[in-house]
Amino acid sequence: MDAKKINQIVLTAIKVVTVLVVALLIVIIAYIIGRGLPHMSLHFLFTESEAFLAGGGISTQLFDSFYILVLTLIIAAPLSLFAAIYLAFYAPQNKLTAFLRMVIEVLSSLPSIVVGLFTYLIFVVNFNFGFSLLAGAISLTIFNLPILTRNFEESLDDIDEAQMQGGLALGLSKWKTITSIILPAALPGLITGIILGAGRIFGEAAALIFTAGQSTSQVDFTNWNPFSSDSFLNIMRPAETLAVHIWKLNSEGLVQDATEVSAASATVLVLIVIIFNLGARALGANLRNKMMGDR
Amino acid sequence: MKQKYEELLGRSITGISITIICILVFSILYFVGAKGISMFVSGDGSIVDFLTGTQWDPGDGLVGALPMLVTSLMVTLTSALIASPLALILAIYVSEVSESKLAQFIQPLIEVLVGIPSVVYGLLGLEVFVPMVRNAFGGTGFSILTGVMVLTLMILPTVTSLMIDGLKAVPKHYRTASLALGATQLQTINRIVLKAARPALLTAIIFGMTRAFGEALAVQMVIGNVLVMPGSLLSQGSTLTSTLTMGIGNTILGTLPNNALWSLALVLLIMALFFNILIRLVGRGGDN
Amino acid sequence: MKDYDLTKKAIFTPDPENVIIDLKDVQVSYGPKHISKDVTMGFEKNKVTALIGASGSGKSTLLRSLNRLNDGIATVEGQILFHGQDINAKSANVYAVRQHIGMVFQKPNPFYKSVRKNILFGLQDQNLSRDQEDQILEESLRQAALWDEVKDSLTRSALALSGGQQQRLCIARALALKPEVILMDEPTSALDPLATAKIEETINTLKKEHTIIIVTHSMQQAGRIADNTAFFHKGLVLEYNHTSRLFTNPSLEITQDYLTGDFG
Repeated sequence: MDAKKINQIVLTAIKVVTVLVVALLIVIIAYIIGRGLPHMSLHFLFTESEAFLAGGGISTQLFDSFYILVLTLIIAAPLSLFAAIYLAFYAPQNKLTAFLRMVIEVLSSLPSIVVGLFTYLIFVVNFNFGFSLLAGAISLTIFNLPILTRNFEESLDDIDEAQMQGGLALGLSKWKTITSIILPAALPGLITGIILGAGRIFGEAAALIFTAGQSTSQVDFTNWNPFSSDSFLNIMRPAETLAVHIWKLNSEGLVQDATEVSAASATVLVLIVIIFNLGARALGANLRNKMMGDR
Repeated sequence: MKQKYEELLGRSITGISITIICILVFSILYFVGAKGISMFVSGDGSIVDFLTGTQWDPGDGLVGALPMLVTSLMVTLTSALIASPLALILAIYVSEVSESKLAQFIQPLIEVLVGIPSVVYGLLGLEVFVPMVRNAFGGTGFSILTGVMVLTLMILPTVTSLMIDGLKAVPKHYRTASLALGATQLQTINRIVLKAARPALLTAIIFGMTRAFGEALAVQMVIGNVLVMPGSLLSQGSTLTSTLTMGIGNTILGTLPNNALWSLALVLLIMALFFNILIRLVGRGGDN
Repeated sequence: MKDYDLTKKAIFTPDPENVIIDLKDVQVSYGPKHISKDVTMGFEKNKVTALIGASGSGKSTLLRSLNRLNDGIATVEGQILFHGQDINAKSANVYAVRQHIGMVFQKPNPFYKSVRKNILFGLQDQNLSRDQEDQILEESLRQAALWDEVKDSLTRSALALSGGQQQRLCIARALALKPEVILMDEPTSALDPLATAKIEETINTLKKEHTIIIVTHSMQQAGRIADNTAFFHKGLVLEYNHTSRLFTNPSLEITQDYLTGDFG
């Protein structure tokens, strides 16, 4: 057979396989989202879960998922932003910097369950945090530091070096130039980075089961005192996020309608993650356009 | 001088942040390392038994982790073996073959799939793959094969996405030069593009394996969690991660059953480091 | 390339009364690599001085040393006297130096902010009233010949301006600090001829109140705007004189060859 014929056959084969795989992937996404839709309702979203009976919702899990996400970002975003600034603007080109980068890469390759176990050992047990939103947020922080740092550093690198030069030439300090000229310029990229990270944080479960816990406590949504044990704002109470809820329902759930609840929970989880993903890009592009002004 | 003060502030804040990250990483290495070897140090379990024994019942002093090691490696390698060629085909299609609507649609699709949480893949395995395997091969449907299916699906988007990046990074003129010399498109892809992108493609595969090896919940949901040496892909099994997930909550810190689990965590950590080094070596191969 | 005798130099010494920046044995090096060597020359006040020479001759690097922008990048040795004070000394206040000696870069680099904020950005610490700010804003933009074009869109993003406008904005931004000296690093190399002409016009009016040192790759440009011109080669300043003199009657063979294009 000549080369041209082989070329034709193989390229056709590639097309066929691609179409098949893509069709399969679409079916899968449609299945995940579609399966939960019939069980979704406002009632489901805003009612507390049931331990044994059917008809429970996911209100607490949903709130706790967002709450733990916010807590995580409060710790992780500044820490990784400053680390990224260090790597982008302060780190000298030497072995130490190469080593620092390697350390961060090692962290990014650790399985989330190992990070969860570490947080369990140090914060939950030794520091006596107990299973708590805070311990969960710390676990998620550690797990997501590398990816956030990398995202942030990339957006900072995208800003032309001439911006830094321009700030310095006006007699500003390097720090002032970074914080008042470069960070605002990099804002679209930074925000995209945060939201993409948020999607990952939102769906993570393994790093949470031994840190935030696997059960919801009694939560009072009218109690605004964060130091009160049943306040929804209390960061020291145990919490079960949506992702953990799905896992829990299916590994040792006792609820009668576990299948329906987990299917609907998965739909909610996936939709939120997709909204994060698409939203991050749309928002980033929008901000960028606004910043460039109309010519 | 105000600026001098600002400069000091900036250096301090950023320096402290990066130091905190480093301290965290070293703490993880130290504490997981220390807990992981405590069983061997105290003499409650021997490292030889741990690596070669096939009986796992730490309550009775049996700490053979070989079945879990084998199962973990089996699911990782098998899923990488299935996912990698598929990912490569998709990546070649997107980067080399077509600029059709389909090709443009694949990338956002892949990105959405990358973002889907692993428990959702686990749930999908539970609801779709378990019955599928049960109907096809009998038994419960919980099996290593089901775990492989879940992991394959889970790492396919990640590997594909990285491979697309790798292929797209190959400069355009490599292709035009080859085509101009009369090579067919397939020959160009095969001899020029894949060769130039090889380090990136290998990195993508290892990256997928890292994820598969470390995934806990999705696998635990479908693999059956039976601690025996796997006989075939259809037997039930338990990976390192799934044993950890099931066990940590049921053991007391400081006891042998608990320490034995930490040794499993240490194995996970060492494997992660190993994959990391592998990626470095492969990446370096690209420089030469 | 011909073998030139690089030990021969023809550097004119301006009247010390008129010298604003005086270089004494200035060396710039990146690690072991010397970029500029033994540069000794004086820059005259309220004049335009052009630095010319092939790329890689060290003229840009030298320029960046004059307001300490090489800090942390390259090592600068020797004395740079500004009104008799060594601004290259470790103890010198770098930030004050940069406020007195402004800079305009090769590529226009407006900040991702409004026109107004761009101009006033370097003045934040001075606690100016709104009126004072408005005054400086208008004054700087007028000096840079940009006022009429942007006065109705001061709050719009500076990035929406054309390339030439952006560069004049950067000049105005430097002017807002009322510097005595403005360094310009090939300021028109990214611009079209029309925009270039406008910038050159601006430079001509600016020298009444400012000293301008400009690196340019275009000999024609040096001929059009510079009072004095220095020719750089391999990090050395070989010939320095009034522009008219240097262009019509250079002392060195190498300068002659460079000017006639008979070089390399």
